[in-house]
Amino acid sequence: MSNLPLNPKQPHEDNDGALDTTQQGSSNLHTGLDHESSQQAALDPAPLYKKPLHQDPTDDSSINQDPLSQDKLPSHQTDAAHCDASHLRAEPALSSESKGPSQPRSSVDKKPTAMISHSSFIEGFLGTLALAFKDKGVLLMLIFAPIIYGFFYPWPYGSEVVQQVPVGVVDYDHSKLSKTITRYSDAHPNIKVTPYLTQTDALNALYDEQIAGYLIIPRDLDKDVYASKPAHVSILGNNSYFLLNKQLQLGFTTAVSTVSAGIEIKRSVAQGAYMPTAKVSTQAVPLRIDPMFNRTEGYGAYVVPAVAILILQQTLLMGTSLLIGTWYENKKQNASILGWLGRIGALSLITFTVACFYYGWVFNFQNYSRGHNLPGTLLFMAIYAPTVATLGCLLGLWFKERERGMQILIFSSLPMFFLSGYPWPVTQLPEVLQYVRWLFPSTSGMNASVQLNQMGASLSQVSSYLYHLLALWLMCFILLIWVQHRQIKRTTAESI
Amino acid sequence: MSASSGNHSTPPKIVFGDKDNRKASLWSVFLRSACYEGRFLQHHSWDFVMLLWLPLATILSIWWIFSKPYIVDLPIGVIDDSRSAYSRTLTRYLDASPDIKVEQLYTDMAQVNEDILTKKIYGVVIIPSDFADQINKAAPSPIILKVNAQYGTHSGIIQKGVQAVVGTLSAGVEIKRTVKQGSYIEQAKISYSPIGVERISLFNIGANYQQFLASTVIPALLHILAMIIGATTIGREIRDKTFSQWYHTIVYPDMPYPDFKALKHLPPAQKLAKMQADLDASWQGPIDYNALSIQTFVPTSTSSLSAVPAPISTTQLGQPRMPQTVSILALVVGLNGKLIWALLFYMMWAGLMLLLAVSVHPASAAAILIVFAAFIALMMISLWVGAIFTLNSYSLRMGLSSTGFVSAPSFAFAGVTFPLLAMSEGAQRWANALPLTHYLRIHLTQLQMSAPVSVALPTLAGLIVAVVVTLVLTALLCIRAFKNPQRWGAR
Repeated sequence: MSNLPLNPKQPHEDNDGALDTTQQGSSNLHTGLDHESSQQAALDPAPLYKKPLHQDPTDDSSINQDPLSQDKLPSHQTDAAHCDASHLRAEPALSSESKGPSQPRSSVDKKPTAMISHSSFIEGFLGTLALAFKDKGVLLMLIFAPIIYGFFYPWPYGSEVVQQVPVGVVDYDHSKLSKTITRYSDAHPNIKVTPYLTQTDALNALYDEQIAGYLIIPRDLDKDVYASKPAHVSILGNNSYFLLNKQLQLGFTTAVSTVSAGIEIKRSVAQGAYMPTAKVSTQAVPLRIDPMFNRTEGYGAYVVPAVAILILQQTLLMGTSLLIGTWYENKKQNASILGWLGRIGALSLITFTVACFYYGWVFNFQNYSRGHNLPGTLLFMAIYAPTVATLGCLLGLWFKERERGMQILIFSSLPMFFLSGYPWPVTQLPEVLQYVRWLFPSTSGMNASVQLNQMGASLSQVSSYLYHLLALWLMCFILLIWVQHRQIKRTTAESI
Repeated sequence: MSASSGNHSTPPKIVFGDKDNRKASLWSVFLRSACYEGRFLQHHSWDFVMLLWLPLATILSIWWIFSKPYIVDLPIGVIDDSRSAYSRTLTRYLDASPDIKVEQLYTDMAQVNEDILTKKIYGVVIIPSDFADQINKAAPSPIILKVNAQYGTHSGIIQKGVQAVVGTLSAGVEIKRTVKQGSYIEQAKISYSPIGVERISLFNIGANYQQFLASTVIPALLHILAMIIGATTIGREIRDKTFSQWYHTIVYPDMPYPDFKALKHLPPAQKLAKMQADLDASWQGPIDYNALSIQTFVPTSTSSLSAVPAPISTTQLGQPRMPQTVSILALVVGLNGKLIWALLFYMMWAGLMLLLAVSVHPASAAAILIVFAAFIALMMISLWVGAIFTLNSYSLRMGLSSTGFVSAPSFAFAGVTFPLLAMSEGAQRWANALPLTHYLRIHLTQLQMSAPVSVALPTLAGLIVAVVVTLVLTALLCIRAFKNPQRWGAR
């Protein structure tokens, strides 16, 4: 500790190893006070802690291009001149101690409007854009995280369809027929058969999750079938895993039905039917299933296009609240209405670009159904991104701290996903939640994006979602301005 | 507090359990660490929300989302070009199926497409005009289901429902046909299908989504929250450079706790200075370790101050003062004390979670106990891994980013919705590295499949080993942090 700089003017090494002029200015301003206070340091510790302003890791303060930024301080600082305003807000009692000696410097401060750090659209737009690329945290959240997720999230679903599910067959019959059933089952692409001697063995394997289910072929199946007695086999699937169970049930059923149909045909022919007639009549009403949009019925093709929209929302929310929270800590959060629009514009532009990466590249690379209504999709994103960014700004003003947004928001993706009505039918939701879900842009976002991009709906077919997003945007923006107004009023009131 | 040490060039000495350095029993270290964190939580509502309201709201809302656990009455359309008795029967059967309901009868495809794109219906059954004729001619009479497969859950349920209905109709038609040919009805049934198939879905008989999804999503979300708590609880001390302050507070039994109420509104960069300023002047002085042989720390007298020049410089405020020696044992006990509130609260949530799970599907006491133990192990791993992420990067923000990156998609990798065995080898390896995957295996086998307890024991042992490993790793990274105080405070 003894090697710490004794000269307060000597800049500390901050995160980026660089200090901007704003900071140096403040360090210099402090020098005078340091001399005064150091004399009483041993007796009274209180004034000492007013020092550490120059330690702020202020990657962000550098974006304020205005050399007068030091003057753009909240009005309540007129009382305490160059002392960091945040101390005063938290500890008004302490601030009074420095009032005396610093009073003359109050002339550098401006009226309350000086609190606005972005007053025009261009200023807000460029300032935000510049910082987004300068602040590693914002850059990671807004650009790198969604790009990495574009590769990472579809990863488990690479194979799309579940095949070769390990299953068991417990053959108590040991006949030609039972061996045929086992062989046919193994030949089905859905399942891969392991024989088990007893049902207990198979059940134990099931508990160990070595197999997902098994088929029981009872004793005397062969005999009963050829004696035209009722006979049946049992498929037992572990329905703790829906998808596995579905695949194995389908695999076994198809295999057994094929064998069964063969017997039926043989029997009909034996009874005197023509072979062709016998063949066609095995199933009177066959069902042909024609999957639309996601034609291969891939799991990733179903989940990822919607989750992508959620990923964009979550990273933008966290990135924005990180940015605004950092500004809040440094008292730079306030902006005029146009300034806010500029900030939102810049943030939306970044996310819009990343969204194009998803629509144009990720979906393409993963070979999902895509690009059916491209102009509509882009228009949707042009509404969605600002709505999310505005909500993020609002959350940033609420959280007031750089890391807080991430702390609170990371967990929220899964509940929002289930509330959206995409993976879980809306009609299944309790009525209250059917209203609550409209609080999140993702509800409209995921549905509208999938309908436009994956299904090829027209804009008018998703218009209600777009109107919802616009309404949400307006609401968030009004709230944003109102919250800022209230916060300014409170700080002003506190400083008087 | 040792102002005499903390020189960056001479990092603190690391000892294992040096009692002289600790000045307190391990029990007192634990309690003081818990008290320190408890006082912090009292005044920092956002952090407290992470322990109480957020997990509570999460558990209840997820349970509530799936409170109608069986998907019923998904809307489909029917195009009936046949207009026969057969097609009307089919339509009636479709509407009677619990899975689906016939929202509307359509006459032209254009209207169907419009309604599918606006999601008024999720599928359409097309009955061709020669449907009845074909049946009467004893020829196969196919019908077509067009289904919106982009909405995977909806599509799966509709396919299942329509298949069942069509199967029933088909069987009826065939049996009728055979009876007409002169067979007895019993015989007709057998000859329709010589080998009957009995399809049994074990454990979750009726496809209960509360049991399938809600019960597994809740631990996944609590896992995310616990990792975030681990990351913030340790990470904020590094961010605020108060990590050594915390260590001093827990090892000196009479050191006053920081005034968290006053610290609450300060930006992180000013917290340490305020903390130091709040301490009595005597704590700012250097400590003569050689003179300290008694349990309780007595601040050095003024006489020893003369040994060290410049007892306190203003510039040192806001700079972390490093301990001369760090005891690993005290650190490990202190870390546990710091996170004890999170663990206690999440034990409570484990209880609530199990209560809900058991309410839909009863399980044996042994199974409940083992799932509880596995869940606590999962929570401890989550807390430590969160801490490891922040300590590794010296940055709370980076720690939270990594936490989010790893934990948020962990449910997708856990193999519940999309099976592990269908994943690529790399994805499977990643999934197996995640603690959630192993926990959910115990959760499902014990709570749903009622598997014997012995099946879960190896996995449980693995989780417990992981708790120890992550705890040791956290302690080692804490020591690394003490050696590199210049890296603290990164945002």
